[in-house]
Amino acid sequence: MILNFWVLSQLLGLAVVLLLSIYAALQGIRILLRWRPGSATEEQLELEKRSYLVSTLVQYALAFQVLSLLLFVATADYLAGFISGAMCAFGSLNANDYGFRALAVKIAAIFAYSSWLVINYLDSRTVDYPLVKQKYALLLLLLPLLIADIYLEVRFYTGIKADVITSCCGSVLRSLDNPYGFVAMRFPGELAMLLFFGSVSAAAVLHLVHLRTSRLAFPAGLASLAAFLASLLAMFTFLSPYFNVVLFGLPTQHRCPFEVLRSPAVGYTLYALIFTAGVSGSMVALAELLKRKNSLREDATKLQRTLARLSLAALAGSLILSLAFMLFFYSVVGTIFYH
Amino acid sequence: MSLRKHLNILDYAVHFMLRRRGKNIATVLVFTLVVFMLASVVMMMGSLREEAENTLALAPDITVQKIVAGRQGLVPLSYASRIQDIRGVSRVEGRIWGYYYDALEDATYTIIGVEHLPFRVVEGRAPRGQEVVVGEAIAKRKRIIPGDRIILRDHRGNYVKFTVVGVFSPRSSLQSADIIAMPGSIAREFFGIPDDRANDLAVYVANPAELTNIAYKISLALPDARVLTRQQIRETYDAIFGWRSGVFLAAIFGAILAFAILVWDRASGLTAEEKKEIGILKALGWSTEDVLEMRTCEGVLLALNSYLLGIILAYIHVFYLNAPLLRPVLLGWSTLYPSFELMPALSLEDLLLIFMVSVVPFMAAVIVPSWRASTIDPDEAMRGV
Repeated sequence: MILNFWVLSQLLGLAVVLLLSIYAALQGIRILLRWRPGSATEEQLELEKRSYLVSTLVQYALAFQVLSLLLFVATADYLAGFISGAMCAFGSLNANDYGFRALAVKIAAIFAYSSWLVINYLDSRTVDYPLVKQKYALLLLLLPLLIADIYLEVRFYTGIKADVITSCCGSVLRSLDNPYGFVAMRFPGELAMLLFFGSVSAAAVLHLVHLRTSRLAFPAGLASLAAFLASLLAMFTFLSPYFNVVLFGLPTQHRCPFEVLRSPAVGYTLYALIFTAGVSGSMVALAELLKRKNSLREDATKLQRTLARLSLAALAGSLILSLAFMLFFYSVVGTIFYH
Repeated sequence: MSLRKHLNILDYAVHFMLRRRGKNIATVLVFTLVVFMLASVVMMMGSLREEAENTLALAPDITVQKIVAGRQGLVPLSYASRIQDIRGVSRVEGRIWGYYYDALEDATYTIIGVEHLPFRVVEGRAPRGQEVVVGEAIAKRKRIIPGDRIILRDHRGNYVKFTVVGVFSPRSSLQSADIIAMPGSIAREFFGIPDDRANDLAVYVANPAELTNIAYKISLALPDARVLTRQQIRETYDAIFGWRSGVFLAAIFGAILAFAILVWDRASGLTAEEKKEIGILKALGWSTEDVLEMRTCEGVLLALNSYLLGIILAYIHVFYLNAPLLRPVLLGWSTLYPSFELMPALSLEDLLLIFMVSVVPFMAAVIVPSWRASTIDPDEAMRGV
């Protein structure tokens, strides 16, 4: 069990998010049970007021969740100092079964909170609030996700043993017969490369088509989600060495997705672009779903276009950044393909 | 157009706050104090970690001590040759070192015997004969520069004269601050250590991957030895720093909770005048969301200002003034050291950490009061109920 300032603050942050979410959920249940649209009773007025509170609480919870994701990676990086064999966040997260699971749940939570906020934003702009029931039912689903997040993280911290040697990126992400590959997943690097460039360009093209013709919003949203996953996969396989070699002069076997964060300007920009493209892009598909409600159509279309533009810009940004570093790499090493 | 609206709300929030300076200053003061304490601890810990990391870079791969009746004793040099026989060991050195109490300064120094100094950390040259290189803190305290003499009392009680030929550079002051380095044979004579003994053995291993294995073999071959690897020492350092700061911060968490309650209380207690103002805004056509945004801007402005102020003050406190408020708490062993300077070490992650513990609870505490203020009915508010 490791209990230090980093872990304590992380748990404090999560406790705050949990408190906010429980409070929001309690309000949500009340609204769910008593909501009578069209009635002019004092209670209905009070419930409408409370819906503002709930949306504020969830907005804050999302903001804190994003901070908590950043801090979680930073904490894992810090903990590497205590864990035999760990050199950075990868080694710490790999120290037991819960590290990467907690990370995955945290990322999923960001998508879930964002979806809720999109629904809420559109719903609160209408007069008749057509989505109240769905909205507050969904709110109750956010809570288990958060509890899973806290559970996994606590298990992760309590499960860390300083005397058990963990495998870090240097040993896990390298294998001789599979030069670009992610050994922990046995994933061929060439395929990851194809998936990354394929899905990122597909998502960008689909967004463009969607913006031009107002069609293909669903495929564009799904492609954004695929591009997001492919980008993360790319960072675990073939993409990270370009950054690591150029920024830090590390050997090409150093296939670590966290190393790039040691250069905050590049690292956080890259991940911010990947997350922005993924979250806003996939919300395009959600907005398409919401368009089916008549009273939402106008606002949903407006929001959808904004999200599509944002996603397009972020996709282009991450693609340009990646290509730029591949180019730098080429100018240093003399080849794009390293073996 | 919509950005313009948000900017106007922000502008209004600034004026709203400035008109209630007295009420907000108290919050800012307490908030700044909380951030200041937190940031001071985090910065000091970061600096100490950096220091330890720097010194450890010079430590041997494995240190072997001899344990006699449960206490550390002198190691026979014959052990060195037995360790040298283990495959994978590249070099074994017997080290001579010890503590020296300087009654004049009421401080304890560490005297080490060295054959060749790690030159990276030294200004000046390695000592030969009756010469020494001293740590930066000693040099400062005793006002010594290379070329000066110092007099030390050896184990027989004789006063021995040494010429100072160098000063350890301040880059690694945690360990080198209190060090006096002299040639090994001179140190042996000074402490009266027999020729066939040493304080401990420094073992260097060619391949770091074999370190654990070799350490295990040494402990099997020499049952009365205590074998420490660099990794173990490093983990001990981390654990001590982590534990000390953990205890201290656990206490601060209590303060943060109290602070959150204070903020909640202050934010909920709207004056009649504030209520009236919000009522007028709503009557003029501001929506609940607009008022909520205005109140949120207020909270964010307050939090960010206090956060930045606290960070700046802590930076000055720790790195310019050398943390006078924290030193006694966090450096329990500081009596060993005359004094040493903390090197600035502050990362983006540290700032994020402090943000998480101070700004996040604060913002969470003001949500409900802000919401309450923004859902006031205009007629009720203007009537001043």
